[in-house]
Amino acid sequence: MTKGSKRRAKKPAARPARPSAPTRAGGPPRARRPARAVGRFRNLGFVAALVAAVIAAIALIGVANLLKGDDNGTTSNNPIDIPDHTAPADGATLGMTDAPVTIYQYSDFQCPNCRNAAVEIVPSLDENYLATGKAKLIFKNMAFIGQESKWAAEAALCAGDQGKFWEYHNKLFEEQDGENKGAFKVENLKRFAQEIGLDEAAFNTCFDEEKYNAKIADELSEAQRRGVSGTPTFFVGQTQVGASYDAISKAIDAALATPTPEATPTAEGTSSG
Amino acid sequence: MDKAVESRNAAKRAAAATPLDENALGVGGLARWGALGGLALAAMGVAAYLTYTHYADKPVQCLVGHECQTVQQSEYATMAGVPVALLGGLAATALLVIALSRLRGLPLAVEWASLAAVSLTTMSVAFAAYLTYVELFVLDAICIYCVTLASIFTASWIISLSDTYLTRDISPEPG
Repeated sequence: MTKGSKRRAKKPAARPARPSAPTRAGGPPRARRPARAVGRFRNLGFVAALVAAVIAAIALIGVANLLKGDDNGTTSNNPIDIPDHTAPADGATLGMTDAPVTIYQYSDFQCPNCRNAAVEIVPSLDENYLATGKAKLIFKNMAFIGQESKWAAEAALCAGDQGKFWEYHNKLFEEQDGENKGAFKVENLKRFAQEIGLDEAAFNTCFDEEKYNAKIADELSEAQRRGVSGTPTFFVGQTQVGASYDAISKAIDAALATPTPEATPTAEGTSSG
Repeated sequence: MDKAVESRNAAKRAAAATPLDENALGVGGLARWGALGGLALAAMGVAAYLTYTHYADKPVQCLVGHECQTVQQSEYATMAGVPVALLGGLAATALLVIALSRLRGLPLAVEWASLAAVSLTTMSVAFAAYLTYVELFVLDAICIYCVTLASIFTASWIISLSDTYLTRDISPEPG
């Protein structure tokens, strides 16, 4: 080593030699040396570790598939579990009766987008507005897709007689599978009632006697009169809003901010069962 | 003479002040491991939120899009009852530990951190890819939080690989 070289600070003799440093004096300065780093890639141990990681991932995927969650025994392609609502319910109304803002939702239980609304929108509304008494949600049947829609709607209202409209509503959407394909045939609807713990005798009587047949027909006419052309359709007060949580929450916030009490449509009051 | 002694002393002081070079990270190394630590923290945050909403049975608030609930309530979101997000959080925690150890210069980390990070992120990316496939082709619904975690793991994977490529060998050259 040339004593005169000042390219690098001299190291005290006691320090261990840097393994990566060349042992020859005056070697190249510290810098990346790609040739050596590529050598690491070719290192068998490194490749083995990568392969092991991939194999472990594949094993994990296999295990995940085996252990994936309970699909609630549904036949649907997208098994889902809608959480129970927190807000109090009164028939088809979800939320406190003295809440200042009223949301109306027109839905058909066979409609896939209505299912999305039940999964995506209603739980968030429940948590942020309904449970806190800021708004209440009234479910209106627009049972237009077919006979099974009408049956499902009647069944839900019969469940409402026993205070479980919204549990049955969730159950219907969890079990939704196609349109007019038998998912909501009568025997299934009665089975759902049993599965959510309803009094079967009372439910069956209500359903078989077509207690809510006329009401469902009325709600459909009402929806058509209001110009509802698809489902789900949401109204906040008198105003139709987009079927998204953002649009509905904005409308609710705006309604809450206005000092005058909001007018609810006079044609229908709160529908309770 | 004084000047020569002075400069030799200065050189000795500088040498003494230089940390153990083989453990020190250059600017690039600092950036990479710092980035890995930051990404791991971000992933832990997202995973914590998803885990919390699962156990508290609260709806997931979708900041972007509207299908988060569909994904989080699906059967693919849990493994034997444990939310998959929790697994992601554990992987992110492990990555954070690796990154911090390397930044701290712990001897074990200096030797193994790069390899450990590559293995961990490779596994995470592969699993995240599987879950993304499920979102796109089985559930037909996308959850922004899952997309975020997948992106974080992908970025971590790329950074880990690049670190392995760019870092000098610390093992002696054979021969």
